[in-house]
Order: sequence, then structure tokens, then C-alpha cells
Amino acid sequence: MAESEQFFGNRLRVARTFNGYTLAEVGEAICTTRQYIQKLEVDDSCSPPPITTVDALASLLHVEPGFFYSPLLDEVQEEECHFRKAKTTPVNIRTRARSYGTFFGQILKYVDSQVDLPTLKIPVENVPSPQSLNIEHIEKIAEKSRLAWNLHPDEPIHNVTRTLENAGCVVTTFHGVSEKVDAFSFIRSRAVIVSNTAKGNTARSRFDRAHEGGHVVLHRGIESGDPLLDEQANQFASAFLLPRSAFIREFPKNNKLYWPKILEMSKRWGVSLQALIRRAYDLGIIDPVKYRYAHVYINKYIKEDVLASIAPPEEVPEILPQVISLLRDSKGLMVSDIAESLHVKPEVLNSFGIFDSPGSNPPKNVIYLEKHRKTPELSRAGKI
Amino acid sequence: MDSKKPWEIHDALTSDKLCTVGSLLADIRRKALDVYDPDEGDGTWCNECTIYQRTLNILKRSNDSYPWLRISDTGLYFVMFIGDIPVRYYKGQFDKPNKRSLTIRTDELIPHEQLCLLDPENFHWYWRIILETDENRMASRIGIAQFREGTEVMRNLWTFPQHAITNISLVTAEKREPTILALPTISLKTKDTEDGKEVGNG
Repeated sequence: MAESEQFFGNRLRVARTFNGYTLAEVGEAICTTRQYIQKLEVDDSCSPPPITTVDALASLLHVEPGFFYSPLLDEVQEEECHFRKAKTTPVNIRTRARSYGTFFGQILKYVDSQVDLPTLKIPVENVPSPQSLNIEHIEKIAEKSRLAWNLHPDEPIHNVTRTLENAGCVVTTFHGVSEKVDAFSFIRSRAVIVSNTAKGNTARSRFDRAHEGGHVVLHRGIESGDPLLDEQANQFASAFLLPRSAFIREFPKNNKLYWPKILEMSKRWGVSLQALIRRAYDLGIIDPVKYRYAHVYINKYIKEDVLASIAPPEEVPEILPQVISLLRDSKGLMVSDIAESLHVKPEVLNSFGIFDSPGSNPPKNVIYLEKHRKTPELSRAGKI
Repeated sequence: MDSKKPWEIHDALTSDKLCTVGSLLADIRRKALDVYDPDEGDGTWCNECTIYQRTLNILKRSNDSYPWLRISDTGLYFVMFIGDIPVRYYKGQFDKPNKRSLTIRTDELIPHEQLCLLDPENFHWYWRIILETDENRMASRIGIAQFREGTEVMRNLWTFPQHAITNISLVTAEKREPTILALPTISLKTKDTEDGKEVGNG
């Protein structure tokens, strides 16, 4: 790598935050100062770092040196990113999560150049602005979404992730950022939903993804950050997962909360008890006293093993594993080849759950030309 | 023999009237179950007694709203009259009638015989409304059928429509199982689909 080539500091910043390092930690790790790292990140007029420094940074941050030498044009910005529970998510955690989004955006761009993915099916084109959107609108939009996405209006959703992926969203997971980030989404050429699997609560994950699906349906092109948007996405998720007509029919009408039936409903509909009780409250089936009592009851009397017995099965994103298999079978590309094209180490792809399937080496007696046929854009340093 | 509808046998037994009765019975049961609290020591026997007493009370009072509905209450059992047709009811399964409920009582016998003196086809056949319950003892299905005197032989069973009886449909509407969607479809880009699309992030 010629030292005269421009070093792009924003790529260093994204790679650093992706790996969860502070400026000081990176400085210390490569035997330099926090100030120098910061200068590299923010000062475009700064002279390029020596190759040994670049190599050390690349090694530390799980990328190839070439990663730093092309402009980063598609960084996920704060205002386009809908964070679940944005109010309570600390800025540094949001920054790290956004860097995940940026990296995933790069992977997706590569995938999009190779594979045709499902197109985005928007159920309602002219959604009112968030300020004029009311609960009834959201209920109806959720019902239309079910129909547009090939679901019956009155049935539980077998797999929320698959439903969203069939509707044209790409879903991925991340691990280890922080439990404070449940999920977030952003829309570029396609809608991306990133959810955290750290909490291991499968019902919660389904709701998180439905919530982000709500942003995709209700808030395309709207700047994020307003708590009202989160509230509306929650209402969408609730209405989407628990359609009102079926819910009113099935929720037990006893004077006293009838827990066996409520637990059965939670299992059948794949939602948490809290989400179920909230829906009952929102639909006026239970009053505020019962709603409050129910929350206390759930926290106090419903044990972990009972919750585990009613939890829905874990849902895993299915598009990317399919893409990896397709590229392997048709072009002989392995995850390491894709990583190389993106100028990152395979560990970066692994952090999004992208792995070669076991025993998936391409046949040895086939020579795939794809590896040797890189486009001019891809072959340029740092181009992804 | 083809099954007949109740109103084809007796004009008074219209579907509207039957659904009204069914709705009353289901509603009484639902409300009584609302106050059932095993944590406080309530037993099912005690609760079923409450349901029986409330049924008597509501059916008696219903005569004000529904002049075609009245009951004859001896204290040990009661007979319901829909129009002039004596009908008794039991809680249980359609195909396993409660023998005690099949016994013909005097209050039922005389009106029935008078009604069917010139109707030999129905002379030995007595009406019973049957209320089936689910595991929570809520009404899940209601029907009316004729039982041959002194036997468990049943004919002309007619099941009340669920939609006509609100509180029954609330607890028993068919639960749909989820649709299992196919995997998302992906395919390799063809030359055509690649044209005009940006490759890389430059």
C-alpha cells in the first residue's frame, strides 16, 4: 500500500467502534497515543500513518490494511437509525451499534451485487405523518401488512423473521454490543433490521423485530429520534403480532385474570406475557388495576422454568445463510473470499452469524472463475 | 331419516328464540365463573349450584323481556317453555346425555302429550337443550335435540350457530393455526438485473 494513498479516518472510527475500543485503548494497543488516533480519525489533512501503524490497526480491528484506503460513503447516520428504546440507550452504545449497521450495510451491498433478494413489499403507500397517525390507523396498517405479507388476519405468526425477510427486509443479529440495545433498523436500498440476541428472550426478539418492521412500514424517510415513533412502532408490533379480533375472542374474560389461559395464549401467539397483558389493556379488556396487578404477578409468581416452557422457538435470519450457500455452490465463494472482497477478516462476517456451513468446501475438481474475475471497482484498494 | 330443524317440527322453536335462550344460558355461566375463585376456597360444586340458581332466576325474569319464554319450577327441577313447547336442559356432552335429565317430569309430560296428541311422530320424543363446556367450564357448544322417552336415543340435533350467541363465539371461535411461509426466494443476479446497478460502494 503506497503511503501517498489517502487514509480515511472515518473508516478507522467505524472499525474501532465496531470492535468496542475507546481511542485510548487503540492508542495503547498499538503503542501510540489517544490523541494521535483521534487525529487520524477526524483530521483529513493529517499525513497518512506509516504502513506499520496501518498493519497494526488492521490486525487489532480485524480488517485488512486496504480497508482504510477508500472513502466510506455509506455510514449509517444517527438520524436514519431507529433504535428500540432510543431514549434509554447511551450514545456510545448507539454509536457502536451504528457501526455494526455500517459494516452490515457494506456486506449487504456486496450481496446485492451478486444476488437478487426479495423486493420490499410496502403494504400501505400513503401512511399519514407520525403526528396525524392514530391508533386506529396503526391497527388497520398492521392488518393490511398481514394480508400483504401472506398472513391470515387472525392467526399467530409462525416466524416473524421469515415474514419480514419475505417482505423484503434483511434481518441480522449482533452479539456482545450491549444488552441496552434491543434492535435497530435503517433503510437504504433495502430495509435492514438488526437485533440483539444477547438477552436470549425469544418472545422479546420477535417483538423487537416486529417493532422494527413497524418503523419500516410507518416511518420510511422520517428522521428518527422522536419518542413518538417508538411508541407507534410498539403499537404496530402489538397489533401485528396480536390482531385485535382474534385477541378479543381468545383472551379469557373471567373477572379474575385466568393465568393458565393467559400462559397458553402467550405460547400460542409467541409473545411475552407482558406484551399480551399490555395488548389486553390497550384494547380495554382489562382495567388499569388489573394491568398493574398482572405485572406484579408476572414478576413475582411466574417462574423462569414456566416462562421457558412457553417461549417460542428461536428465530434465525435465513436470507444470508441462503446467500452464502448459493455463492458457494454457484461461484465457489467461501466466507473468506467475501471477507477478502470487503477488506475485512472473516471474523467480522462471523459476528453477523455469517459462517461457512460445516463441511461446505466447494468441490476440489472445479475451478471457479469468479474468484479471479473481480470488477474494476472491487479490485481497487478498499472498494467493497 | 333426514334430520329436521326444530322449527320444522314446532313453529315456536325458531332459531332466533333458541339462540336467545342459548345466549342467556352461556351468559349466566360466564358471569358465575367470573366470581369463581378457587384460591378463596370456592369449589366447582358450589359454583355449579350458583349457576343453577342464577339460571332459574334469570329465566323467570326473562319472561318480562321475552313473553314466549317461561319456566315451571317445582324446586327440585324446572321445565322451560318456549312458546308452548316444554324443553329441559342439561350440561354435558351431546352424545352422552345426563340420564337424570332425560327423566320425564310431570310438569313436562302433560303439556308435551297435549301438544303431540295429534302428532304421533313426535309423541314419544322430548326436547332437551344441551350445553357443552370447555376445560374452564365455559359454554363451548349448545344444541337442541329430541330424545326418545326413557332412552338415550337422540334425533334432530341442531347446534346453535356460534356467531348468533356472542359470548359463546367469544370463547369458542375457531382458533387458526399459523401459516408456515416458504423460505425467502433468492437467486443469482443475471446480466439483466446487474445492468444499471451500482456495484461496490464507490
